[in-house]
Amino acid sequence: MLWRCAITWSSWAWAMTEPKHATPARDAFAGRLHPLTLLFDVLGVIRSFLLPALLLLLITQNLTMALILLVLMMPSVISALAKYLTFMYEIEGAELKISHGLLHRRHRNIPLERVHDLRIEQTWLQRFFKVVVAYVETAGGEGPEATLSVLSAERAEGLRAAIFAHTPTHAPASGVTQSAEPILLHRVSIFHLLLSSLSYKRMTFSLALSLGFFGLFGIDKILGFASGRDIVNWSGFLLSHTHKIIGESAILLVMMVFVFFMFLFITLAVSMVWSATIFHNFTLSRLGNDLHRAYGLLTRRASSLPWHRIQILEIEEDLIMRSMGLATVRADTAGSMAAAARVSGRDVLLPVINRSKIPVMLSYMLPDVGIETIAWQQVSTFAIRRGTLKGAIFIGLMTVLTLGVIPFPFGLAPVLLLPFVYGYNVVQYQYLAYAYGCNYFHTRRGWLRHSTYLIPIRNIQAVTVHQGLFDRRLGLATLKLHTAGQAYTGSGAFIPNIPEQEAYALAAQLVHHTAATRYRW
Amino acid sequence: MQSSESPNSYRPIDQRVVRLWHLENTVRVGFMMLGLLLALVFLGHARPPLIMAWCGLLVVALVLARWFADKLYKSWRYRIDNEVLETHFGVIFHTTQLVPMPRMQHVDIHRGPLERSVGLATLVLHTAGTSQATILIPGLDAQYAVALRDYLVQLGVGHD
Repeated sequence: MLWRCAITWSSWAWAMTEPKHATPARDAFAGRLHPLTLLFDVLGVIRSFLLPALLLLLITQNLTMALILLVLMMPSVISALAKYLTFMYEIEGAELKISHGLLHRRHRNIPLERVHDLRIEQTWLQRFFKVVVAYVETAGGEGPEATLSVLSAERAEGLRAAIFAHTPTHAPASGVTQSAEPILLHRVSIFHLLLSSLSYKRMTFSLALSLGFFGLFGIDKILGFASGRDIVNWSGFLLSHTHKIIGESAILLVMMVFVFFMFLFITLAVSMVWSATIFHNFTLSRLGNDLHRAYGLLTRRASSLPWHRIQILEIEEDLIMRSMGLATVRADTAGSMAAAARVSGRDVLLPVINRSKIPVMLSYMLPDVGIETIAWQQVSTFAIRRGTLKGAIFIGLMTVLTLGVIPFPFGLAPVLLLPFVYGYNVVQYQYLAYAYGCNYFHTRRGWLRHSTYLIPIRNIQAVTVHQGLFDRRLGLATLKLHTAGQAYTGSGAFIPNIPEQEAYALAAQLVHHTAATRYRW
Repeated sequence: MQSSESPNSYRPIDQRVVRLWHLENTVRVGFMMLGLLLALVFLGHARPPLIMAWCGLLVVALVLARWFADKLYKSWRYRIDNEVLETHFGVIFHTTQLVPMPRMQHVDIHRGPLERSVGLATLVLHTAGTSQATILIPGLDAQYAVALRDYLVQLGVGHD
């Protein structure tokens, strides 16, 4: 009954604001938010006030302060109520129309053609009530274009189908049979997820989390089994009884190794729990031209991405992942935003996959790519000289500074790094390469962490050639391709140390090639 | 506009921009050196040798600022054909930017107070790429910039 009323009201409202002759045939898809919106909004308000309220109660131990906070919460609760009562959405013609606001009424018309994704998220509590939050994503990089919080899961799926039914770019490519059900391309096993938690990026992220955790609560409280004083006493006992045998320095070294491994163990545990929770039951499927992702244990996330909207794709293999034959696939769209995406795992298209399966998977992700027939072109051998020269200058400066503190000959220690600098540049050079394909420009680079980038030529927005002092001296240049997005792949579309003439010729060729193609949002 | 443009020919920017850059660089150097002088005075190091060094540094900085503006002007050139807008510039770091005309989103004209005082404008061409994919052509005659903007917009529309 509620839906019926909502539909009638909404249709009436739009009929009042638009001339009758201009009104196109109306779609039946219109409505309001789910009644549980009120509950979740109020819970959100309580959550945001909970920590300050507890702190105030602890500090002042005065119940009046809690009552004041309760009064301060009221505007947010009223705002939530106003949002629920006034929020309406409707698909009319080729637009998704959203309006809300009691005093200040806002209307937003989003052309359906511009909608990249209707991303759906569901926390464990929302899963219990069978409701979801739907985010309307476009190419704008300022976050979701609209947020519908909350809708029934069934309604959200209906909205997604209704939006994409109007979008010609979501229609299946010629030769691709549209099936009603998505075709499952890949399911990530829990074993692979745990292995992927060893990757450099996850470990770094987890290390930051662990350090924050330790810093916030203190090491003794986290360890639980012993207080800080106990640890000091225990260390003192150990030192006093064993220093005669192996010396204080050795004991200190053992302690440092113990602390290092403890941190490593905790970081690994955090990384494993984080990977298994965020990417739990990760599935990648394809329906027509759309790639569908669904994942998450506590908060279940689902999103779809038309393959032609991939601006740049990165295959990332760090040393640990590479040794296990695994890789991570990232993809940028025009509206990519790095900040929130890393935490929610939205930056990855596939968190972990066997390297051998990537060519097959790419044929589904980017049907016009042929990664197996890429003819890699190495950069100039002057790359080694350039890198070593820059490294040598840095080491020279370091040596001068060190000699100011440590006397000769030990002050010359940084010079010992020179062979490593040379070796590093040789290894970098060996992997650094590019390939100019029919539809894609490919680059690869890295030392410990290998990254391969695939840039659809039709999505290139601009091409830049840079030359610094060293570059000009050695006749080299850096070629950079600009696309929309590049938030998740980290501005990776560049290739340094190309011979100068080759770089300028490539830039001219690429830009004319791009001009002959059509960019689709 | 079209008749005056010949494909594959680079155009320099307006020479009046050198005056503008001289002025801007002088003001920039002036502020930095004033900050340094105030730091010397307040930290109690305003001794004659240091003041002499400061004066020497001021002269060097002003000469360098002037030299940099001259060199930057000489390095600046651009060309437009039916498919591509290309710019070259840079004194220490040389940069060449190329934008396919069908990727142009919109074109702006910026005119600050100093630019207005010498009758110049900066043309800003936006694409859908990141901020680095935005092309700036400074030092254009104001009227010419408007004509160039209209020409580029027409060219962009033609590619749609």
